[in-house]
Amino acid sequence: MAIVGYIVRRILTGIVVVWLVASIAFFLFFSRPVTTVARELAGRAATPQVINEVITNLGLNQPIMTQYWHFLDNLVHGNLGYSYFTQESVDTMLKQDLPPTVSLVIGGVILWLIVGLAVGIISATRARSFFDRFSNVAVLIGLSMPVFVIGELLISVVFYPLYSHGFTWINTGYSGITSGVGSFFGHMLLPWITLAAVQAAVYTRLSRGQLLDTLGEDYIRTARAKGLPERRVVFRHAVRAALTPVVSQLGVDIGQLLGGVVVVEVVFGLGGIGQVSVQAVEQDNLPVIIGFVIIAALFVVVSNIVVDLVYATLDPRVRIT
Amino acid sequence: MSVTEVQFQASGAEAGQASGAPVEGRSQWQLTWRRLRSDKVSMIALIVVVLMIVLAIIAPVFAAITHHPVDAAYPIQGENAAGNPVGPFTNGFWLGTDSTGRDLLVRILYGARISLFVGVVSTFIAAFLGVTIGLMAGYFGGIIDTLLARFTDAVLAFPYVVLALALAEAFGPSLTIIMILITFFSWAGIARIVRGQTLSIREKEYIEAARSLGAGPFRIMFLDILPNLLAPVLVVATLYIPQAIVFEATLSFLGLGIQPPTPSWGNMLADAQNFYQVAWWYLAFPAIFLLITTLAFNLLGDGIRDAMDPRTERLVAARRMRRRRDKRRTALLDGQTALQNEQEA
Amino acid sequence: MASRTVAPPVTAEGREALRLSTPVALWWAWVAFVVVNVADYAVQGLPSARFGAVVSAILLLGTGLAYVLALRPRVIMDSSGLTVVNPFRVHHVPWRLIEHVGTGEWVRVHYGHAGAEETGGKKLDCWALYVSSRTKRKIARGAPRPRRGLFTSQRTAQWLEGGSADPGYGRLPEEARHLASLPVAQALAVRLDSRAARERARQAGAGPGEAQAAASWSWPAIAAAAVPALILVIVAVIA
Repeated sequence: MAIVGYIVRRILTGIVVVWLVASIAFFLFFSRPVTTVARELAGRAATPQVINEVITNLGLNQPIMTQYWHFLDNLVHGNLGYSYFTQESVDTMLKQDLPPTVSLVIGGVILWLIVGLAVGIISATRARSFFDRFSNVAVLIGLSMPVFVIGELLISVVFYPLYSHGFTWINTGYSGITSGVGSFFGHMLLPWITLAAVQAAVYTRLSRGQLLDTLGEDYIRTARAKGLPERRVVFRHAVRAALTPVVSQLGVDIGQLLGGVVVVEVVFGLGGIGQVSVQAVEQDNLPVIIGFVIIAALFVVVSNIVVDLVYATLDPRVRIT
Repeated sequence: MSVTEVQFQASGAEAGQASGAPVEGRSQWQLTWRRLRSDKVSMIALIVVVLMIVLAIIAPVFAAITHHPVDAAYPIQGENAAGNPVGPFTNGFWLGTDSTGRDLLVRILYGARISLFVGVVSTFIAAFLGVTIGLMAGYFGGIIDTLLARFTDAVLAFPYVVLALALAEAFGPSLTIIMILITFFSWAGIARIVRGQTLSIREKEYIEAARSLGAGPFRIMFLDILPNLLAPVLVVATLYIPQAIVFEATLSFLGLGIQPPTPSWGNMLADAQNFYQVAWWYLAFPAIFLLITTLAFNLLGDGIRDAMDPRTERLVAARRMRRRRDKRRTALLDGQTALQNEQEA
Repeated sequence: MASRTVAPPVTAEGREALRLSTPVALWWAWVAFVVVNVADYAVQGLPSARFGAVVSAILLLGTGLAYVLALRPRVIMDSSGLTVVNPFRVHHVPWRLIEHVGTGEWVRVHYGHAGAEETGGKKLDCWALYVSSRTKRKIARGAPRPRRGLFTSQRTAQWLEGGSADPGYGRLPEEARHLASLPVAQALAVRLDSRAARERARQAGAGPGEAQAAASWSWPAIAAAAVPALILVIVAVIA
């Protein structure tokens, strides 16, 4: 029963959250004057006739609650609207733009976790050494830098010199993994580093602090007194305990992750969901933005569930069964 | 008298006795300032921050000196034959020009105005909100506290970029929107810290005394608890300002914030992206200014925090003593082994 | 001068229903949503009968689910034992069978057979008392050590913890103060656990007794969820 109940609870909460976000987005955008909404749905270049067409076709003159239920109806059927501006339905657009975003997220998260934890652990175990001091300075600089500055620096300092000397492996833009693993990595390497840099700094500081605290605890001293080898003490006991707050912090950081993803996509021209949505703001293209908001909510919900599961495997106190 | 003052006075007394001078209690702020002054890194950071603020204020002076108003484009002197920006120290442009031939230095300084204004004012408003709500949550507890805790968590975990996009689309990008966004995301962290401090202060005896004397909750909150919050809030605010500056720069970079032609470090860097191959200065100089500003604020905030916590001093002293003791011990051991060697020989 | 210690009550403790506040708040939020919808249609009219029928069916289903999943579940403790009202089933466990009440994803009751040598090993989750991710993180963090705050040294922090001879906020008895520092779900688990221990001690000498855990399906709850679902299906298909 426990597993069933767990799944039900998670899915239920997820549905409620996504529904809530979609509703807020709907009321935020559609409660405005009809002509404004119609203009945004029709696209910037629309003539008054097109606008009137849009009003009739999409029923923008109906009472708002009626519109709301139609909106929910469409949503449930997977229809996120039609972007007149680019002349295609929003879900086709989003499906095209999903791969770069997903690749970026997965690679970036893995990179930042590995680097953040590794540097944090090494710093903590060699506190006050040269490595520790150096990494502290690097962390401070990393924390002070906006993501887009790092990205631009990497482009101008790494990509451009290499590229202009004929080394074309590292490149901007996106190349799917199906068109060649090598070129995929070449295109994604700098974006991953950019996305991971700031977060790695945060996690380095976090894991270092947690590990230093844990290493001072009584049970660590007991393990040492028992004569256990230092490496075993550190890895088996201390890291395990220090890991849980880091993982729980990860759940909270999903919001920052999304922000970083959008910025990195814009800087490197990856053409993912984030970049498309930012362009949509410039183009006054409402359906894409609503689609992005809902996808973002889905992403947050799903990643929270994943973090929860990881957390449960790490910490026996919060197991499901 | 707050407990923290008592504690600081005690450590002041210790310091006085150690040096043989007459025991003189010093106030919390004086001690903090003294410690801060001795921290070289923080002093440099403070100087940089002040310098930035001054430069931002006197930006029009630079415009006057160079005779280049902030939005005046110079297609002839400001651009080379290919229509690209000119570099530093050419044609009277100290740092070069941007993509439309405007004076880069002047634009950077005007951009500093915006960044610092947004950073400082948003954080100030956020601090005001955060203190009010945190104070009430910590003092009254109960449902206000629970609601605040939940709301704080939600705000801290919220994807800011989604909200920024939605608001920019719904209402059009503007300075007001940015400030609302930054304030919205900053107040929660401040409120949390204030709540924590309020909870610990609330349990003190002099609060009990005040209450038994008939002081109402608001009087207690403002006269007794609030003064003790100023120090933590100051540190937190100094650390939130660079976050606010970075936030504004990021939003402007994405086109969701300050729109050109108004200069903001963010939108300048966005434009600079297209010209980095031919105009490295357009990318480098705004980035350097941005970096230096945020780094300085971060270092200053860390420095103030360390200066306010006497534990750091004790930590440093303890480390010194430990090193001395270890040196003595090894010397002793060396002496013993030397003795043993002599005896065995 | 009244002494602060109170003699343990000789009479049995009363009946109490336990639930968390968030589900109830969510229930009322849903009710508000339904009211807004009904009011809007009353004022502005319905676009079509089908629309009205579908929306009414959906709202009805939502209300049924909200009732079954949020409003109805609770945990009742009284003199005979623990009654756990879960969405579709109601469980009753007498006190003497309860070994321990802990937390996992929910507040979990561990119970077994009376007089068994080894533990019975049965587990019952209380849907009403769930443990949110936030609570889980708090539990995992454990009891907060006397942390140095931003501006207090270790020594001062310990001084603050130790409190004075007559602590202000600690005017509450020690147990209540400890409970107040725990997250709600955990605090409730502790309360249930201690009540179970007390009741077991009280009934220790009273002989074997009825000692059987019982579970039953709750037909009203099942109906509240199934009937609107059926109506929705019918409306969606027919209309």
